[in-house]
Amino acid sequence: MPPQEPTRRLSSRAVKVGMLSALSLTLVACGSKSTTAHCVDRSASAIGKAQGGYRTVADGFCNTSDIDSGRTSSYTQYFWYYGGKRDSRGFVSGGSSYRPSKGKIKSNSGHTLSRGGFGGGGRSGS
Amino acid sequence: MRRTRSTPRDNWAERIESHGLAFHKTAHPEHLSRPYWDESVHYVFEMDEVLALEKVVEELHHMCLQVVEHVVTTGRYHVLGIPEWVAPLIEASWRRGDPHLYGRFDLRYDGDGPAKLLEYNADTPTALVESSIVQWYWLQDLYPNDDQWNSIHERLVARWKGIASKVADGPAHFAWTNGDETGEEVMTIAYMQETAEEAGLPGVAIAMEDIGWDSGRERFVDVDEQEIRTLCKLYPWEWIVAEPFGRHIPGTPTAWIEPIWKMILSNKALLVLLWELFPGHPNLLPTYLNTPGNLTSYVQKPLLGREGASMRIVTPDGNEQRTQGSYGAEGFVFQQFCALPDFDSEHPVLGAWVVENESAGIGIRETSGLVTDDTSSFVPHRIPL
Repeated sequence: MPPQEPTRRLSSRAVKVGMLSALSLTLVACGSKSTTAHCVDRSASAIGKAQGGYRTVADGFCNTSDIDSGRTSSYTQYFWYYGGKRDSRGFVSGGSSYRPSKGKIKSNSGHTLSRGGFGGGGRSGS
Repeated sequence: MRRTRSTPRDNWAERIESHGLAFHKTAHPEHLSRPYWDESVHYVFEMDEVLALEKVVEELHHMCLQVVEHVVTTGRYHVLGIPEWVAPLIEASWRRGDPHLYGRFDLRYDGDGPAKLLEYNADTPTALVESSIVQWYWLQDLYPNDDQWNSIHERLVARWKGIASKVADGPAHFAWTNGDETGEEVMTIAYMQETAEEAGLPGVAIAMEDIGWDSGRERFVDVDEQEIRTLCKLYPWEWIVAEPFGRHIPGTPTAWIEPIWKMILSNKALLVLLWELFPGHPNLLPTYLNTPGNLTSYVQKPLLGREGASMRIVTPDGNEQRTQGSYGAEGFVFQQFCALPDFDSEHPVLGAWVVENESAGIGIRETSGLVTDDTSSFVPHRIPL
């Protein structure tokens, strides 16, 4: 029997979907959760965002297990924000969306920093 | 190429959601009876056919790269409506060989004649998750002995390994716009981040809206005020350069993915320049800038339109059809009308993926009308071995 020609496969051999799967299920379930925790709203009003701050919302919008696991949910509308200062209007700034694992570098350059210079265009894929 | 009916998996909705297609309901108009992911049908290709199409895709991509070289050499940026101050950035990026990642050709193909290029989404292509992952798992579940034109995942990971060696150390940032509420873009950029991390390049997610500008350091920074050295964005270049922070780009060392030279490809005037440089090429349709020329039936497309918006179609019988939208300020191209093929009254478009410079796979979207827009459904495919 003549040796068989090796066939070229056109499909991936393995496809991993770890983070994506978890994130997907979070998005699908969005709106049906009522856990108790503490979090901020990415789509805060322009006033807060211009100052680099996030509006705090009821803890129930975020996933408490994210705090223990250190997983960042910063793709979702609501996510945990670590550290920083909360002002009287309920805006928190100067913290981090990533759980500090060692010494946190404290923000000190608020006066030279601006945000909001990109975005606002809506859907952008094609 | 043929279209065939098949029985959907019992738990298909849960399956596709667990594979990242969180947005299959939200990104699809609610009144439609057909789901966005439709596995009650699929396409079957012959291997020879796919191997021939692969060659077409890679040839088209190389022709596109020649258009970039042409524009940079001749300085014909005005054809594309690119602002003057942006031109030197594009030239420098192209001459440096700034690494690029991926793109998606939309092809008209009926299984018979040559594939025709409809457009090239070379900057912010979507339908990636369903092409790379969801249809791959569909194949494993239902036709594990068949093949699929889909090595997108593998190639993305491999490409990230190449990019990681060229960009600054430390995490790459992955940016999307929180203006998209469907979840489609966040899932797409999260998937990009996942492929980069699989390649060993750590990622940090950030919304475009949250990017900061530190005027003291003259650097873009993230929410922790860490410098953004490498930014993979699902946000079009033409918007970036038109926004307030766009003016900070000259002089900052941020490596952008896709690089700014992709502005030349993510513009419908590309189709005009391709026809000019390669007239009569079997995979191109005659296309002209701001005039239909000698075309009696054509599709008028805005230079910088998205999702089939702001188009005008004049069919051979003289009928005219328009789609909604407010694009077109930069001008229009007129592309010869070439009706999409009819398979059981549905009209497929092949979204052919390119990773770096090689063909990587396809995703098929079908519409009942002439324009592939947000009402289209994604249909998987397989290649019997």
